[in-house]
Amino acid sequence: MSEMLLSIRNATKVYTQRGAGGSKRQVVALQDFNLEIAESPATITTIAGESGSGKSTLANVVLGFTPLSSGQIVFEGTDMTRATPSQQKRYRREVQAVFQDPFGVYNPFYRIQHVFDMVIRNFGLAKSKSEAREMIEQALNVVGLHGQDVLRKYPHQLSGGQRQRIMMARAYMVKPRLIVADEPVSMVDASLRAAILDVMMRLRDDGISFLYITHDLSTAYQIGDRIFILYQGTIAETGNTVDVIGEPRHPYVQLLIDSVPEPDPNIQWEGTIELPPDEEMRTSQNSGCRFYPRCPHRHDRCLTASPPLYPVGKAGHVASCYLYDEAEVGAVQG
Amino acid sequence: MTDNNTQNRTVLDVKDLRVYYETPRGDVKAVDGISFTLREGEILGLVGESGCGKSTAAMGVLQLISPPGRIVSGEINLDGTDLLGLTTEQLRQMRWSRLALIPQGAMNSLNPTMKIHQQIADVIRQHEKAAMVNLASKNGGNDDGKPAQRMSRAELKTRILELLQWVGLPERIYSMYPHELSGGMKQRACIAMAIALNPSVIIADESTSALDVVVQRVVAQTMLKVKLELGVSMIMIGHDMGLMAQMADRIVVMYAGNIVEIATVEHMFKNPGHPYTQLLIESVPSLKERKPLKITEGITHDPRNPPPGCIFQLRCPFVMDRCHTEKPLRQEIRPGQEVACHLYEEQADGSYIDVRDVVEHS
Repeated sequence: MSEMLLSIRNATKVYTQRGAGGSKRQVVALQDFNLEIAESPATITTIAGESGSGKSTLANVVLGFTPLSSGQIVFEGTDMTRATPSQQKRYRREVQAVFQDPFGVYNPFYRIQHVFDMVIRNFGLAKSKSEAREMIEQALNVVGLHGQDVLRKYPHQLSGGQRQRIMMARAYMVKPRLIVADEPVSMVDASLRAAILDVMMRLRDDGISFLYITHDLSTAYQIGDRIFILYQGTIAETGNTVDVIGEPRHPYVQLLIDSVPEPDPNIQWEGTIELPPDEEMRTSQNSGCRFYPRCPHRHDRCLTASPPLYPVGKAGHVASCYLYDEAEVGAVQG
Repeated sequence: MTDNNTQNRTVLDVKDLRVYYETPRGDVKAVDGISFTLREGEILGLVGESGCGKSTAAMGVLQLISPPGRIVSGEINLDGTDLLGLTTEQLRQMRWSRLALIPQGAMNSLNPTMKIHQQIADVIRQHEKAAMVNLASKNGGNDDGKPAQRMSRAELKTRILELLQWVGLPERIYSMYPHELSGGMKQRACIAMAIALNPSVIIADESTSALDVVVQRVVAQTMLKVKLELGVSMIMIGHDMGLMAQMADRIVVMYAGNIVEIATVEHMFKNPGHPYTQLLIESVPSLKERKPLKITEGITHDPRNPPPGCIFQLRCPFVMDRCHTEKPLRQEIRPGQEVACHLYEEQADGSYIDVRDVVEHS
């Protein structure tokens, strides 16, 4: 088995909400989450799910913005939860981020040049001005831009797609091993998304792995290698992207894929769906299967314990649902 | 999605609307002479990339353009009233009661310090008078200047609960604050507010774009219900072509402040006419097959200074000499599909041919 670039082991994140009168409510944002990204070849691993599914919490813990409640994040063999400052510094360099909002990440008072100057200074990337210039130009070329077109401009003078590609160029310049891309295309126009996704694929072929966090299954389907579909902090289903999206097995994932609007007026959504209000406000279900209140196949067993991941198809395709418990299936058939 | 929409009456008629933003280096022509109609009981999709002027166009219709923007010219007729000729007070009465908006990021447009019922009550109270007049004129118009009846508190509460129930929200959110609701619930609270005074037109600006697909589907269902059961006509602004396919009856495609195509949803997806529309349809990512990404460079002209001729010439794969000099007019290339493109030429018998076919065959 090849070396792991990143292993997330039993990651759990619990937020405590303090209500009026000292009452406390625990919100489990991520529960016993496991993920591994191999050292090579570089891959695009998608984390998909609705808001509140824990996908952004995952991005934040991987980027070190929030500590885990329990569990480990192991990067190239080093447990980052107990890393030394120098290990942390290296980690900050090896793991870069691209965020959702291509407007908010820029300081509107500075020209684009500033973004690159900062990163070169912080990581001591270049020894001379000319070296820095070359480096910036090369990074911009990778994302299909040219220095003369963008560096002297202010952020508001560029399109969202351009700004997001500049963020990719900035991340690329540091030559990281992993880029955490948190919804990088969700605020960019459909016709310009392809350019950003294409940059991601090219960087992957260059040896940079991605943790691609998104709620948009169709872009994940186009570029992703492995996909994890989260539901309220737990993995509902994971596997090869094409397998999971082509043949979803978990009832939630089936609903999710069924709800993606089809760009064809002749194929309409079938039936209407209703969301139980408790479910929508995430006030329910702390034990057993999280999807219980909405599940069409629910069963008493689902309330007892959270279902483990059962194999449901091709290698690595697993779903957290008792419907696929071999013993159970065997018992019913026998 | 019904064919009889073509016979329906026009509710909103926009003619040659121009909205410019003033900048030190000349006006940005955000909306540069657009004309379209909204028919009774239809959902008209308004699509295009960000910055194409779709939101500005909608704000222009609502007259919510604030400086440095201004409406340069145009005509906006709502049920026979020219909105551009109204006073501020008349306009204020018109909003919500006849022309409602579900704003972009509706989730953040709710006041965080007010409970849901207070916000809906606010809309109703503020516009009660206009609504009463409106209702009275709908019921035969014997409103002889009597002061309109104010709703009692109990009536108001009943009405609000009825609205919440109508959009599928539980009663208890009545006295909740916006932050206690999920995104989809806030969105539906905004829909409840929009339909509170029975408007004839609702403009929904990207109203589902920040939601998850399952929640989006629920909100979309609610909007379809508004259309089908209340007969409200809607302009739905967005860029999700999948959602448009599911919801819209007709679609208006904007590019750089101009309308390049208006077509029924069937034509739009089956035979998109304008090269830009074709690009839009092609760039919808599929969940059925993995295909190579289609990358297009977003080179656009300076919005202060559009080139003569066609607005799409810089990005068009089929650009011809004529496109640099002559601005294409919108022509109906087949029933229910109007395209502004030189690729389509009218024949002696009134039908249209695609110029590319002629070149290939000769």
